[in-house]
Amino acid sequence: MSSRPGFVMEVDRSTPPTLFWHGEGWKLEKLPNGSRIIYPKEPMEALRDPDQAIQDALDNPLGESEPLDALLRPGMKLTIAFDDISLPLPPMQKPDIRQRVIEAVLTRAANAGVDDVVLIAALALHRRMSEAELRHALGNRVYDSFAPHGLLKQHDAEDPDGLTYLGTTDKGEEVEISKRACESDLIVYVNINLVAMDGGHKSVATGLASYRSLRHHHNVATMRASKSFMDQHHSELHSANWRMGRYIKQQGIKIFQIETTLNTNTFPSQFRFLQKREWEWDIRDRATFIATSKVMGKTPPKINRSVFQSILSPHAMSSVQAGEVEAVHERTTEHVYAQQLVPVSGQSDILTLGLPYISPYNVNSVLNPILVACLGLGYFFNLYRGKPLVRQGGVLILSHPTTWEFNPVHHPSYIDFFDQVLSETTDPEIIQSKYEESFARDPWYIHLYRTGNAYHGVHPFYMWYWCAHALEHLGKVIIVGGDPKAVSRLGFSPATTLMDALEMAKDVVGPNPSLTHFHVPPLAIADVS
Amino acid sequence: MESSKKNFQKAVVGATKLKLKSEYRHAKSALRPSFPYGKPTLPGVIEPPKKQNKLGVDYNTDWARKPAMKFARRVVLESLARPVIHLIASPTILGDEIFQSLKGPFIFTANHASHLDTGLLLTCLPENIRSRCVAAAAADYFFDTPMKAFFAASVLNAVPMERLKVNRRSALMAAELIEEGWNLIIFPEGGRTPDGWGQPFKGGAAYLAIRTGAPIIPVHLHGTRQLLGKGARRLVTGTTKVTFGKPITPFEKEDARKLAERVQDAVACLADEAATTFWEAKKRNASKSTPLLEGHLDKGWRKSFESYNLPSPSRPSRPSWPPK
Amino acid sequence: MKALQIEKSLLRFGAASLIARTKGSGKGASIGPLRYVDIPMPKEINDNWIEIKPILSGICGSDLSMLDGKSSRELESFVSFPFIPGHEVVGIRADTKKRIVIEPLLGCISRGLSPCGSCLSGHHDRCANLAFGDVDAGLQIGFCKDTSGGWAESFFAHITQIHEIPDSMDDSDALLVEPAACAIHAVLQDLPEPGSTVVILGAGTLGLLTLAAVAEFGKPKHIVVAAKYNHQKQLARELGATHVVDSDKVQAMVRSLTKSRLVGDTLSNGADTTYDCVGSSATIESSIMITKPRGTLVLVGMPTKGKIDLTFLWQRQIQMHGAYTYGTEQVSTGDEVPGAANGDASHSTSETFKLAIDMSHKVGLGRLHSATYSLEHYEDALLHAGQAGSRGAIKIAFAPNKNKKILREETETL
Repeated sequence: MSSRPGFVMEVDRSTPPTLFWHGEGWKLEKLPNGSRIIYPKEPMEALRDPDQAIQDALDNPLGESEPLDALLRPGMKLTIAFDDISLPLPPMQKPDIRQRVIEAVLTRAANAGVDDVVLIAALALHRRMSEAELRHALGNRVYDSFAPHGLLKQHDAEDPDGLTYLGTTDKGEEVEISKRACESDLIVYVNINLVAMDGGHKSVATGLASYRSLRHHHNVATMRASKSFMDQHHSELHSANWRMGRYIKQQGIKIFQIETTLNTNTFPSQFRFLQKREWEWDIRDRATFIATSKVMGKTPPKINRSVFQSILSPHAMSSVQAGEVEAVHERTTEHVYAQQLVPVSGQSDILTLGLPYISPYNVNSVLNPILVACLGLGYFFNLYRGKPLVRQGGVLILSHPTTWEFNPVHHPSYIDFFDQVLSETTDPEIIQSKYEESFARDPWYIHLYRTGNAYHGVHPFYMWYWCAHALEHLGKVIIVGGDPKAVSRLGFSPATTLMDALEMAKDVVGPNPSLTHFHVPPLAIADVS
Repeated sequence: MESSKKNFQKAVVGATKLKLKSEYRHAKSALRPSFPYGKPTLPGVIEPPKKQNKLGVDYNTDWARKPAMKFARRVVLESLARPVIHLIASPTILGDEIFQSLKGPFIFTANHASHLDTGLLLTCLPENIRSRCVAAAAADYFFDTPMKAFFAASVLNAVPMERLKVNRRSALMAAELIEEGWNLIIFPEGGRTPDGWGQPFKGGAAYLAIRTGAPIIPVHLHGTRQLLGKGARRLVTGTTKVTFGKPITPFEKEDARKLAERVQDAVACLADEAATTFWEAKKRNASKSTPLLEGHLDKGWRKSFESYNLPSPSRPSRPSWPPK
Repeated sequence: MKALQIEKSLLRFGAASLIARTKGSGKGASIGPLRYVDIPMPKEINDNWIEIKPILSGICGSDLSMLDGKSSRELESFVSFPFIPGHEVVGIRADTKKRIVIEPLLGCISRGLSPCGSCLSGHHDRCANLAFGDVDAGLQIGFCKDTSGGWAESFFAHITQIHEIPDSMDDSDALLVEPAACAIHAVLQDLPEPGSTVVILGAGTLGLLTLAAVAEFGKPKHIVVAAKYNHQKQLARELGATHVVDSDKVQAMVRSLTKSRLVGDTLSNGADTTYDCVGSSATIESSIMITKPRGTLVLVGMPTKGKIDLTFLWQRQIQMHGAYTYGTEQVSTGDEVPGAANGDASHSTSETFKLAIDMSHKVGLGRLHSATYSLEHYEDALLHAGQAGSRGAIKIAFAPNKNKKILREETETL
């Protein structure tokens, strides 16, 4: 069955209320008549035999690359780097794509007699993964073969002995990446491309880099020049990564890139209504909605969170391609766009978004207020190609509980960022110039990043920079149902109901505003003309 | 100029239509519980999905053959339907000894005069056979509404069958069922007799026999028309006669039409037997003078009139209670 | 003479204590030991004592804590009943009609004794002769039955206790001079090193004044103030705090600023100097945890009774001491002497009160003065003072010679 394309629908009197994600939960909201709702395309058909597809991709590389087998020889140093816990979202049902690909690569490496193999989780400044998370991503076979011998590593961007400084690009950007990667005869990068931002040269140039290198593109100016960072050709973030990636290639470092895409079959069948259009909800969908809404209102938030965090997504591999980085990524992007692009004509005064419980940075954790901002203004706002869905000076209305809550193990520097930085200013430029350095160099955060499971001290800054483009573009941000204190700290306005929020928005955009609701997730990219 | 005006008019008409549609849908929903407690209304711009025709021939009856349903039906059949039917129709059974030596599955082909036919035939079959019987029922009659389809599938264990032609889907399904070991009851006439006389046998049963190799057992049901004929308003009690014939298996390379004729012939012989005696019927059969099921006249009132001259085993009588 | 007088009544102290504990500070005024009375002016002591007519007379934290029955009963030896409280006074000399502030300490000189060593060198704060001489026992004016006190229409002050103030100085600024002197004294005893990290816990009157003093006299890199209420935070920023945080966020802020690691609840590094201007067991304990090993912890203001875990005072070798009132200070004149070793830098000696008058005038500390009541409405005044934080106030004062109920509303900035 072919999947129906995404589309834009105009709300009229007989349109049923629309689903809004609301953290660990959801709400139905009746949007004003004449509002537009953007529905994503339905999940595309998955590959029938993903394992065979992987083999085919390894044998038939794209771009100027030999097949994997030809690149493997006895005595070589092989490094397999793979995407970390931030992908895919939610974590996928077993077997994880990384397991499939890495097992295929390892089988070939074994056949070719390669002994020196190291696996590296390319987590850049993200938190280290737990054993359970690694086992889930790689499977027990791979884990048990490498972890006990210390050959399953997690990238350490603060290890003075583990990094190699390669030099600078023609724009003066310093390139410093994992020493093991630099010394390898071949890096095989195993990627999962959930959104168009992922992959390409970003995999190695970001995933295996250090703060010294990352700050050249993870900054306010770059993010403001990335419109959007989901559109590689209009993204300064990508331009910088591409310069770095090409520089790395010039240094003779060989990368065999394997990229995979997923369809948007995001939620398991018990939550299938989340990816159905409301007027197609059958009695089971409605019953599930009512039952879950009622139950979640009664159970403690902690239990709700653990239930949600245990959701494993059924999304399936829709393509796999391997070979030279740029050629591979071009094909990958085509597949992502084929699944996610929805044509939309024109901007509107107000954009509404329901934010779910998960973002790339809180798998098995808490979506703290900074991550709420990043998910709304960083990720969802940027899910566009062409122009933002909301006009310059328009209003973004988010729906999320935004509780004042942090995971102290995963996000220690976020707590201090929230208390010490955002309490003083929310201006990304001031934040960058005044506070970034001291957080980035804080020995305690470095200690927790290297030895615990903490995001790097500078990571909350990056979250805020991710919002920089939206903050510059928008006239106002309102969070419906959010904790007023936390929302105010973010510099946004709290509202109790959507209707209140719309009234507040009118003060900014004038009466009779046009409104667009972006019905995500499942993910989509608005192709705005 | 003219065309743009027209386009504009068209657009206005289109928009008005959409608006009306949305208003209509909205008004319709006003009486129902609101979404999500009630069904969602359809936005005006959304074309209502073409209802997938899940009734008729496409009605899926798999669920009716799940163990739980089988058990439930068996309970109903044994404890309720059989006694009731015996009470109403008081059947005399002839020729049922064939089941002692034969193994199914069988295709039962019978003449068709009444809604009682399926039930009567079922109750007259030995226990091991009647518990594994499906009945071919007219898709357009029994499976046209969800309620009727549900009743037919659950109580009668009916499967939908196209009356007039051999539908690939329904034939395939019936064949699969037979191959799975289900006995099939089929009325080759394709419907109840309107006038008491038989109608020409259609090839469906024959086709299935050729395809699956299952033997056809010709059956004649006598007297059900008097109890509840086509168009009858009320049910009366009476006596009936159920006559089983010898199994018919297709010859090598026999085509369905020929086989159907043989089956029709066999049923006619059984009808003769029911009216007279086995021996007389056999003799008439041998001399090819068995009275035709369809009668001799083409149509019209005289045919119907003459059907009353057909031998009748009994006259309708008032039900007596308690039964003797 | 109308006055607010405290009698020695165990029962009333007990009742006040009970109410303060159950209902909150200041609520027990009506049944507490304080009473609004009309009594004759006390008899003159001698020619060195001059009658003062108070204009404004502040309600101090120590007054409240005494009225709430929270202060240590050991202090009873240093008071003489029945007395009239009030030691933060701006008033008018009855003889010259000049506006003055008083330095209320009752040391050797004011008592007519031959000065002890401390008093001789100007350090009245260290004087031990607090119960002898011309007047009865009492730490200060406001705790002594012979002098009357600031919460009366009139009282006596020793000639040496009187400081004239400039005409241009606001009454409110002058009201804050006495507590400002306490703060300056606390800060100048251990002036934080330039570039150091200073933490001030509490942003009531004393916390804010300590902040003002630190900002005025020291050059620390970071001044962290823990404040509970928004108006306190606002004032803290105005008075020179570099970081203003909620009290439960102090540790994280100090950790960030000093780039410390955490071992359990203790910081590997910490603040160079911590001023505890709250004085509860909890704040003293947390002060110990956020002060760097071998750092300084100063208790400004009167601490309450309670149990304190001193394990980390011992382990971190923290220098903890109190800071009481004022006297004479060594002040760096600010002239850098090239090549001078520590202590050789040019210093001058100055009375704390002089410094406090200058600072209060310069900084405009009158902004901390939130409301004024007549004596008659002392119950409302004490309640307001007891709930100052939550009611957006800092310093509440009496105007003993006026009789309107509320003479000054909360300032509009708050």
